[in-house]
Amino acid sequence: MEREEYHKPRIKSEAIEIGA
Amino acid sequence: MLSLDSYPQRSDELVWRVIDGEVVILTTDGHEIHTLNKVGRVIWELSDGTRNIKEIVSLICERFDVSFEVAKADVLDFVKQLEDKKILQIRGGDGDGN
Repeated sequence: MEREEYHKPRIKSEAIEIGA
Repeated sequence: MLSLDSYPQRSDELVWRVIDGEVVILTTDGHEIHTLNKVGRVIWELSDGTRNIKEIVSLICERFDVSFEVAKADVLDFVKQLEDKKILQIRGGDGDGN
Protein backbone atom coordinates (compact mmCIF):
# COMPACT_ATOMS: atom_id res chain seq x y z
CA MET A 1 0.00 0.00 0.00
CA GLU A 2 1.35 3.43 -0.92
CA ARG A 3 2.23 5.57 2.07
CA GLU A 4 0.85 9.07 2.47
CA GLU A 5 2.92 12.22 2.23
CA TYR A 6 4.42 13.11 5.59
CA HIS A 7 4.23 16.50 7.25
CA LYS A 8 5.75 17.28 10.63
CA PRO A 9 3.01 17.10 13.31
CA ARG A 10 1.96 20.57 14.42
CA ILE A 11 -0.31 22.18 16.98
CA LYS A 12 -1.73 25.68 16.68
CA SER A 13 -3.07 27.20 19.90
CA GLU A 14 -5.23 30.29 20.22
CA ALA A 15 -6.54 31.99 23.32
CA ILE A 16 -10.28 32.59 23.47
CA GLU A 17 -11.24 35.97 24.84
CA ILE A 18 -14.26 35.40 27.05
CA GLY A 19 -16.81 38.17 26.66
CA ALA A 20 -15.24 39.61 23.51
CA MET B 1 11.70 12.96 30.58
CA LEU B 2 9.89 11.43 27.63
CA SER B 3 11.18 8.19 26.15
CA LEU B 4 10.06 5.61 23.62
CA ASP B 5 8.62 3.65 26.57
CA SER B 6 6.31 6.50 27.63
CA TYR B 7 2.56 6.01 27.21
CA PRO B 8 0.80 9.23 26.16
CA GLN B 9 -2.89 9.57 27.03
CA ARG B 10 -5.38 12.28 26.13
CA SER B 11 -6.50 14.40 29.07
CA ASP B 12 -10.07 14.10 30.34
CA GLU B 13 -10.13 17.85 30.92
CA LEU B 14 -11.07 18.77 27.37
CA VAL B 15 -13.43 18.17 24.49
CA TRP B 16 -12.34 17.51 20.92
CA ARG B 17 -13.80 16.92 17.48
CA VAL B 18 -12.49 16.19 13.99
CA ILE B 19 -13.43 19.06 11.68
CA ASP B 20 -12.34 19.02 8.01
CA GLY B 21 -9.74 16.35 8.77
CA GLU B 22 -8.12 18.32 11.59
CA VAL B 23 -8.53 17.80 15.31
CA VAL B 24 -9.92 20.78 17.21
CA ILE B 25 -9.45 20.66 20.98
CA LEU B 26 -11.20 22.93 23.46
CA THR B 27 -10.06 23.04 27.07
CA THR B 28 -12.93 22.75 29.52
CA ASP B 29 -12.15 26.14 31.03
CA GLY B 30 -12.98 27.46 27.56
CA HIS B 31 -9.92 29.70 27.44
CA GLU B 32 -7.92 28.04 24.71
CA ILE B 33 -8.51 26.23 21.43
CA HIS B 34 -5.92 23.96 19.80
CA THR B 35 -5.83 22.69 16.22
CA LEU B 36 -3.75 19.71 15.06
CA ASN B 37 -2.71 18.96 11.48
CA LYS B 38 -3.18 15.55 9.86
CA VAL B 39 -0.12 13.78 11.31
CA GLY B 40 -0.83 15.45 14.64
CA ARG B 41 -4.36 14.06 14.46
CA VAL B 42 -3.07 10.51 13.95
CA ILE B 43 -0.73 10.81 16.94
CA TRP B 44 -3.58 12.29 18.99
CA GLU B 45 -5.98 9.48 18.12
CA LEU B 46 -3.31 6.85 18.92
CA SER B 47 -2.61 8.45 22.30
CA ASP B 48 -5.18 6.48 24.27
CA GLY B 49 -2.81 5.22 26.97
CA THR B 50 -2.51 1.71 25.49
CA ARG B 51 0.42 2.38 23.13
CA ASN B 52 3.88 3.66 23.95
CA ILE B 53 5.67 6.20 21.80
CA LYS B 54 7.71 3.53 20.03
CA GLU B 55 4.50 1.83 18.86
CA ILE B 56 3.04 5.17 17.77
CA VAL B 57 6.19 6.00 15.77
CA SER B 58 6.03 2.58 14.07
CA LEU B 59 2.38 3.14 13.11
CA ILE B 60 3.25 6.59 11.74
CA CYS B 61 6.01 5.02 9.62
CA GLU B 62 3.60 2.40 8.27
CA ARG B 63 1.10 5.03 7.16
CA PHE B 64 3.33 7.94 6.12
CA ASP B 65 6.43 8.20 3.95
CA VAL B 66 8.93 8.94 6.72
CA SER B 67 11.93 7.23 8.32
CA PHE B 68 11.77 5.90 11.88
CA GLU B 69 14.44 8.35 13.06
CA VAL B 70 12.66 11.43 11.68
CA ALA B 71 9.27 10.26 12.95
CA LYS B 72 10.74 9.46 16.38
CA ALA B 73 12.21 12.95 16.79
CA ASP B 74 8.99 14.60 15.57
CA VAL B 75 6.66 12.49 17.73
CA LEU B 76 8.76 13.03 20.87
CA ASP B 77 8.83 16.78 20.22
CA PHE B 78 5.10 16.90 19.46
CA VAL B 79 4.09 14.84 22.51
CA LYS B 80 6.26 17.06 24.71
CA GLN B 81 4.45 20.15 23.38
CA LEU B 82 1.07 18.59 24.13
CA GLU B 83 2.22 17.53 27.59
CA ASP B 84 3.42 21.07 28.32
CA LYS B 85 -0.03 22.36 27.32
CA LYS B 86 -1.58 19.76 29.66
CA ILE B 87 -3.71 18.19 26.94
CA LEU B 88 -1.73 14.93 27.03
CA GLN B 89 -0.67 13.01 30.11
CA ILE B 90 2.32 10.68 30.17
CA ARG B 91 2.43 7.31 31.90
CA GLY B 92 5.33 4.89 32.13
CA GLY B 93 8.83 5.42 30.81
CA ASP B 94 10.24 8.22 32.90
CA GLY B 95 6.88 10.01 33.00
CA ASP B 96 5.43 10.87 36.39
CA GLY B 97 1.97 9.44 35.83
CA ASN B 98 2.55 5.90 37.07
